Amino acid sequence: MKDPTTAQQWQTLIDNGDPRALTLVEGLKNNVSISPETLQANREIVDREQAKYYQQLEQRTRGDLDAYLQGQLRDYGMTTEALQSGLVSDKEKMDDTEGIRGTWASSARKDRAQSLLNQYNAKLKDAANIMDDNFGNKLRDYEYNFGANVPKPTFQKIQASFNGEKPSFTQNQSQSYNPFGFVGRYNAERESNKRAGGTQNLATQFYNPF
Amino acid sequence: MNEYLKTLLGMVSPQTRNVVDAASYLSQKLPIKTSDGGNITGLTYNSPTYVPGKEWQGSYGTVPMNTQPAPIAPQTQTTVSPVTPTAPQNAPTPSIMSDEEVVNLFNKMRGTLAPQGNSVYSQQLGGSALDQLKRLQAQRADEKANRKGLYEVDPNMAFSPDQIRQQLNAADQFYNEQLGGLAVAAENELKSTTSNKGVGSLSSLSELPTALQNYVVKDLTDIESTPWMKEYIQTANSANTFDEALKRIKQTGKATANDDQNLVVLFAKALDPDSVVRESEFDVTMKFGTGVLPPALSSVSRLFNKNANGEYVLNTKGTVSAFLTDATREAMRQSILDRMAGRKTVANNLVKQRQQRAETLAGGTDLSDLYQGVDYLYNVESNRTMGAPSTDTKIKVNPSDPVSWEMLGQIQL
Repeated sequence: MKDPTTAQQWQTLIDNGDPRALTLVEGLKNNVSISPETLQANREIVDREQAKYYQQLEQRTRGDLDAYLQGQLRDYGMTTEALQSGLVSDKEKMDDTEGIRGTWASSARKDRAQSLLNQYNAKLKDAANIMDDNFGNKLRDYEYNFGANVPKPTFQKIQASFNGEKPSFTQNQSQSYNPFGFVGRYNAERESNKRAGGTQNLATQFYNPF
Repeated sequence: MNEYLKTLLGMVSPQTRNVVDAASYLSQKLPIKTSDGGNITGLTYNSPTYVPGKEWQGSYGTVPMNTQPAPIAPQTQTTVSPVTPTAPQNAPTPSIMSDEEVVNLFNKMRGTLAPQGNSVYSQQLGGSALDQLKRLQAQRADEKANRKGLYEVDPNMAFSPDQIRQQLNAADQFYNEQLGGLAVAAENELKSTTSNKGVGSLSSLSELPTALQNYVVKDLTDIESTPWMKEYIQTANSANTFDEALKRIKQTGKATANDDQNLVVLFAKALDPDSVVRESEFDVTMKFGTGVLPPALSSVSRLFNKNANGEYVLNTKGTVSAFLTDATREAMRQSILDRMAGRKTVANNLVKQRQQRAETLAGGTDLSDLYQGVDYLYNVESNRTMGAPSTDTKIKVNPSDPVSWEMLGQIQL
């Protein structure tokens, strides 16, 4: 070595396991200009600066979504409760009317009761379909913006039937949202800013990696 | 990678390299939260904020929703001060060297004397600026063509075209800055080597590490500015000019007072290169100049008058003939050559000494093509008898040229 003093000093650092010297030599050994750790460190610096913006953006959007979903569930619950009580009430009225008219034994009475049941089941199904559509639209939007970490709320689909002459109701849980696997455009935007900014920081960050 | 770098790498044993993992060291210093889901794979970092496949486990309606995410914990600022890593085994001894000293030492080991530069390449690639420039250009082309390194675009991140351009432009900007800096350094390097071509060709220079290249170039420049070398260069210049004047006198067969005045001035400059030959110095030279001048010419300053501007002009009223004999001129020349010979020895010894020192620093590399000595500054024509009068005393006159006839009448034989 040309300069014994320099070589000895360097050797001492290596022998002592000085991490700064080892890091520099590691980059040299790999013959790469930029070590992955150094590049990542620069990216993290940029990401820290924008983290709060994206976190609050997601929080606000998630809050809006949660409020919307809650409202939908509440309205759906009220709708289905009204339909169920309506069916019970309408069936009682129908039975009273059939008894007063003396048509209780009529073969057409069962057809009229079935028609009433069908009307309410159609309304229950419409309410459930609207829920499916609204949930799907909102959750797809959210997933597209913020990735697959998306809420998957479910609700109870209700179907009416007659147990003897009394209306009864069965519940079936709706299908949960099936994600598309979107990355999330804000995630991509944040990551892109992070990478580009990390690269831009290299020019000034690199000389002394410590 | 040149031998210099191989030597450096060879110094680091595999066991020693594994004492402290660089990534773990950096993870202690920088808030890379790999525990949160992020991880490092080569140059790709998977952000913990994006976790594909992770499903939301909450339920709406019957179960209260948590719509208030936990507040963001304040991030600790990255510090640039050195820390002592905590390695469980073979714990490294804390170095008393500062970070800057470590980097400077590393740069020195790499043969780079650019401690104030901001280019990572000067510290990690080494070699001359031109070599680094070529390597960096190749690296950039490779990274850009193969979409790796800074040009890596993760296809799984669904980046938009604008975002891809954003990242590629950042990489372009980084490389342009680095290449620009290296281009300037390479240009200066080339200028520096070109400006020193008088000292010698620089073929062996390219084989040296940058630090040594800079040293040699500076050393060669310094040599020319040393008092000994400046004296020798001035003496050699006087000798060359003296020879040219004598050669012309010999060719024409006649000398004028102006010629002799020039010879005396050159003679005085050769005796004392640092002096300015004024009237007094001129007279002193004529009186005592090494004893070669005839006493009868001791007051030649009478040949000149001082005008209103303080300038000395030839006294045209008096004699304007040459006042030195051929023998005197030859004696003056020999005196200059004698004086030059001594200074030449000193100068050559100086160059030799510097050459030996540089070769020692270069590990024995032959640098004789750089340190060529000073022989080229003056070529002695040993067979030339400058002082002998021309045997051709016939003056060539063109009969059809009246000017020549007129001039012929003014010549004093």
